[in-house]
Amino acid sequence: MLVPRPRRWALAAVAGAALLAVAACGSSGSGGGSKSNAQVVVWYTTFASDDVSPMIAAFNKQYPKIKVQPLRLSADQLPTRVITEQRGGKFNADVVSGESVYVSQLINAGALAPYNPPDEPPLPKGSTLPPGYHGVVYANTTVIAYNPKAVKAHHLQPPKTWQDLTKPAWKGKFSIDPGAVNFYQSMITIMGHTKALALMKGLGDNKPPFVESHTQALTQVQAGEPLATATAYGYKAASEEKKTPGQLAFVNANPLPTSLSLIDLGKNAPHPGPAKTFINWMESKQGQQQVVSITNHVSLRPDISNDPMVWNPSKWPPSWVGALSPTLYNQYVKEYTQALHVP
Amino acid sequence: MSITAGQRPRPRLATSLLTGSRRLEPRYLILAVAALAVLYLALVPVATMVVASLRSAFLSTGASHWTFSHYASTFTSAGFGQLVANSFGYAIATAAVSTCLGFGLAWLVSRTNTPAKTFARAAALVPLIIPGILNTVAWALLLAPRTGPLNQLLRAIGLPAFNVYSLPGMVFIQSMHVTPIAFLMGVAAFTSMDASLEEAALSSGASPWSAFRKVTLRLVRPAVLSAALLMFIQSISTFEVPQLIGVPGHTFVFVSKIYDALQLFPPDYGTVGVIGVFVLFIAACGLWAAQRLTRGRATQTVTGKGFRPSVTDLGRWRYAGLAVFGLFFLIAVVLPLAMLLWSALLPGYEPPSASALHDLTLGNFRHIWTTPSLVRSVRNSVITAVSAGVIVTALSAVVAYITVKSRIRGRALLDGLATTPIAVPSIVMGVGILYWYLVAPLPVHLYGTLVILILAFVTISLPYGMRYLAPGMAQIKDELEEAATASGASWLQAFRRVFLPLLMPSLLAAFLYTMIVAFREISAAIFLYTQGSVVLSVTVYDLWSNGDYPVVAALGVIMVLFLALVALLVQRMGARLGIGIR
Amino acid sequence: MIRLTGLTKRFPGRTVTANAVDGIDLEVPEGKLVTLLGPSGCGKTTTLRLVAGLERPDAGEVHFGDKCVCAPARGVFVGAHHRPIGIVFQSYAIWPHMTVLDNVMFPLRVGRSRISRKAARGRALTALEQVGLAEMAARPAPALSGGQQQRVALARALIREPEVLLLDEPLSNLDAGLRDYMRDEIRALQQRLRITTIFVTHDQDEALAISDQVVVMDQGKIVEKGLPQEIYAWPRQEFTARFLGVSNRIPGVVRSVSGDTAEVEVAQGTLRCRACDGLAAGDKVSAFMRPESFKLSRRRHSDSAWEGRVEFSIYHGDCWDYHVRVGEELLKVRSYQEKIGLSHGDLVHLMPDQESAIIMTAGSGSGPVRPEPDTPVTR
Repeated sequence: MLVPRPRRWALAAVAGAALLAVAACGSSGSGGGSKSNAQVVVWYTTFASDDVSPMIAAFNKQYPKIKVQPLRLSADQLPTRVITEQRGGKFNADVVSGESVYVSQLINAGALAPYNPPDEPPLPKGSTLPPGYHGVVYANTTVIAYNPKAVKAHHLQPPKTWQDLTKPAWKGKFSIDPGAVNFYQSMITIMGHTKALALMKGLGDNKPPFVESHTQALTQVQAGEPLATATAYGYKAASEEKKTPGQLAFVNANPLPTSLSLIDLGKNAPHPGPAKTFINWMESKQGQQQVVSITNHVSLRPDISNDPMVWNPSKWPPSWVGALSPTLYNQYVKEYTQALHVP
Repeated sequence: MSITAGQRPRPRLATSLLTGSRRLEPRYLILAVAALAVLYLALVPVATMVVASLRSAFLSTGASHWTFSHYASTFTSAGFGQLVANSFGYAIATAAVSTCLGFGLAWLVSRTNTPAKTFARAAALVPLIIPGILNTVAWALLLAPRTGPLNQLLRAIGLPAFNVYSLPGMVFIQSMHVTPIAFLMGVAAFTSMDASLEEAALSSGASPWSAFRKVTLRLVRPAVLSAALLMFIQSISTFEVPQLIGVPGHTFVFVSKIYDALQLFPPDYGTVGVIGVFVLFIAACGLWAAQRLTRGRATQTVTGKGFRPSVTDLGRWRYAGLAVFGLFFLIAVVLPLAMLLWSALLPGYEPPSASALHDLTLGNFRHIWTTPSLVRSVRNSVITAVSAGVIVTALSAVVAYITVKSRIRGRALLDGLATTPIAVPSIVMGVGILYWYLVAPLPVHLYGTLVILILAFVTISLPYGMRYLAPGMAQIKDELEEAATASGASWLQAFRRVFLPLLMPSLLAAFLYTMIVAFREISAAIFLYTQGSVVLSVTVYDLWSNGDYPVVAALGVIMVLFLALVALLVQRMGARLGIGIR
Repeated sequence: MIRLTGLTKRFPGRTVTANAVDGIDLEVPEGKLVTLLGPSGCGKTTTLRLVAGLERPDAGEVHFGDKCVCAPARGVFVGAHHRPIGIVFQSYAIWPHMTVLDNVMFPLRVGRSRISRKAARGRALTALEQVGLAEMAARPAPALSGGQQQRVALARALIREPEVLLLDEPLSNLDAGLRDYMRDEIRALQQRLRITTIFVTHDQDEALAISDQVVVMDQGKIVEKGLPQEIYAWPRQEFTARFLGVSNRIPGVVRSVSGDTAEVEVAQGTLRCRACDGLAAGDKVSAFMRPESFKLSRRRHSDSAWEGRVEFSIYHGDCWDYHVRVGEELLKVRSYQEKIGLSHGDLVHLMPDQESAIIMTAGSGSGPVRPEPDTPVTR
């Protein structure tokens, strides 16, 4: 039975109105396109999610007045998002940073604007990038990571090469990222197209569980399942190995597959001034120092020293991959996913 | 026959104004606005999807034309048959398992003397507040093939391990997630059934078993079918389980295919559109069939007077009934929550063990509290979910009024429109809304704001709001409103002072449920967030795919606590009004 | 005074013409109580709702006194909330979320002539006192019994001092004893207040007892109207006759007419009847006889008595109903002589009362007649 309560309606109405007001404020406050005096940079990035906030904090120590609004996206989500927005006529991103294989697709599509920071790390020999898009944030090495304890428990030898993972003993016991086209691209550079495709098919036929990211792959390996991952990044594997030495180890191959992470200005960036400031900082010595110390990534600046476990070109000479034409990109994606039996 | 036939003068506007013609009454204005809102909400994502499936190039600056080529290429592509088989296998099995389980539990609660009914009811409903993404994450950890504690237990007692990254694994997790909805529908069906119908069968010489089979089951069959259909549609259209469980284990379904096509570069809008239309078509056929099957029954309203569902005495078996609930509670609530709590209290993820006990810490919660982006996503989730709850409740109250109480032409169409979003996979909804607000020539840019998320949540939860409010509305006799009108109250006064208070139980229930739906929604949100408008469910997914399990778990604990708190508050409000939330 | 002219309302999409109203012309004089009587679905409630403004007619007009409140042809429609009416619904429609007092106060607190809460409270309490429910004022409305709810509904309908009171089967949900009591109460109240009232019912006893005028309706049309006693004694239409319990219909031919009496030849013998207008010798007619218009005996007292056999009997307490087969016809005969105690197959003699038969020319009373449950199908 209901007890009469005459003011209930009024209360409900007030509460509803208040809520909507809050929602409106919330959305206007977070709107990317606000033209207020506050300096804002919208940063689309593939930095690991727990590295994003410390990087911004480090930037803000030097530039406290510029507010960086990050949108973290996975490596394969990022280009799609930028392109979809721009085709819809929304230019939301000021700064885009991500893997060269994906970012070069954005460069090809004309979704990024050329910009030359005054002080940037040199491009490695053999890499080709169009002029105006030379901003390299870090180099990324792909490694095999495994859980030594678990590998031992399963009476297996730690994997030394990717070929090891194609053996029947490793069936279903290592993971792979079905979106890691840069890995495939690297292997093509190293061993040629035919052999690389055969290797990918060998890996795919071993029915590896799919992972969504390199970092997730490492977490799973640390927990002991699966035993190894074919697509880990060296920087993260090295820092995780330090944290849990018994549960993670990794192998740097020779030559070492290495790709570049680029930082570029978005086309029609809504805040070009602060965006350039942000890119300049990221490429500068201070910025690169932060990249190395916060994320353990590899800086290409000669005046910065990197983690020797990750980067030692004399011991593990890198095999560079850079930009990729749209045709080749589509072909590689198709070959790679088919080899892994992604429908 | 009519005295004015053939010589009817045109109504003069002046007279209309003076006498309050129907055009000017606030009632018609409100109804019209609500109807237009529903029309807009329901049609935008569907239409965008259809257009995307039929254009040679969508969202493109170059020339494009109308074509069926996407249909041809998608349906004939290699692996499409497997995709259809997987999707149907997954959705049908989930619908079967969750409907049987939900209705079985509902029968125990409403038609037997199973003890501790309050506990039983709560046991079946609590899973509602565990967001699907968390449920999935928790089960992925619990049932990890080698390291999952449950599989270790199975192995310890000599049983084979259960590989969760498989079709049965997907069915199991999704069933745990949707069973509460089937349970709710089952309780409604069983309690609205007149006991005398069964008693008539018994007194005709039928054994209790054959009375149950031939009368009870027959009577709930429409409810069973419509519940199963709903479970099917929910399963075929949501994102979490296919993406988190299906993809790692190589089981691809429609939703993962759509998600995949969107990650291609350039995105394959055509395939997305085609699969979206295909799923919509299947769901619409199902809805249409269910409506045909339940026709005539849907209009029956329970009189409430002298009404007493019969209770079957289970004898000693009633403790078995209680045990069933205990088991369900353990599996659907205790295990996943315990897993989340355990992971939330560890600095880095590791399977439960005694040795890890001394590592327990609140560090993850501190981390959340000190990370602005995480705090913002909590805030955004609260704002969007509560706003969506309020808007859906208000909107579906008005729409239900039109469809149930009025005789306005086109009300059946409006009802259909308000139900449409159920048939649109949330992931397609997200994409459709994204495309529309990117290209639509609107005066305000909604892209990148919370408003676009609220719009998506409102659209998605509108059918659920209707499901609560239409029956609630039907139970209020027309005469109660007419008595107010005849007492001199305007329509607004009557709606406010008579209708709304009587509707309060349904309103509260609708608010609670739609808010929960919005809070845990991810399938659409994943496409709509930008910097500053990240919501909790997306953050959870993002952190999960980055392997940051402890923070995922800590966020999950916060989500569940918040939802539990809201549910409790609404329940208390209902209790103060003397209403049991159904 | 209420005047309805050509009032028409259809419900498209519904089966046949249920509840429709098909060209009603009616005048309810000031201060009088008019009953709309008819079977369910005949349109009587729809007519009431049209008067109240709860439905919009397709055609026709409604006038309250001089004021036109509804004329779709001219675009005039005054909503229910602007009409000076009070209405009691069949279900009473007591708002379950309010107290008794709030229910009764409601009409004073909404609409155009709102009064202060205090004043409204005072008036509502007085009204409740008048219906004997003052001590129930603070109770939640659903806690009341059916009869009490009905009185609350009545108090609520009258609190605004409306010009028109509309009662939609207000007694049908009450127990038999309470029903008679409330019926008398309503009539007394209506006569005291001199309020123009429309009363809808399907119960002929109720209609006859309470009305100044009875309007018999069927299939959306008025069949006939008149004073209760006229309608009862000399219905002019077969439908009315049947509806008011005149269950025996005997076909015959007029033999002679003299003055206001006529002799009608029927299969069983001759009947002396009151003639109706334009009746001539040789006309084919139907004679309608009430069950109580026969004398029934075991022995043959007169040559003109009709011989028949008892098919079955029904006991009512104060009387018996015998269904007697006379030739081809099955006649219903009511006997107040308790001791006769006839049973199946007994031979009896029926003596029709003089001038008790109601004559209608065959083909008049044209409305198709639905057999009432207690009416044996003749012919």
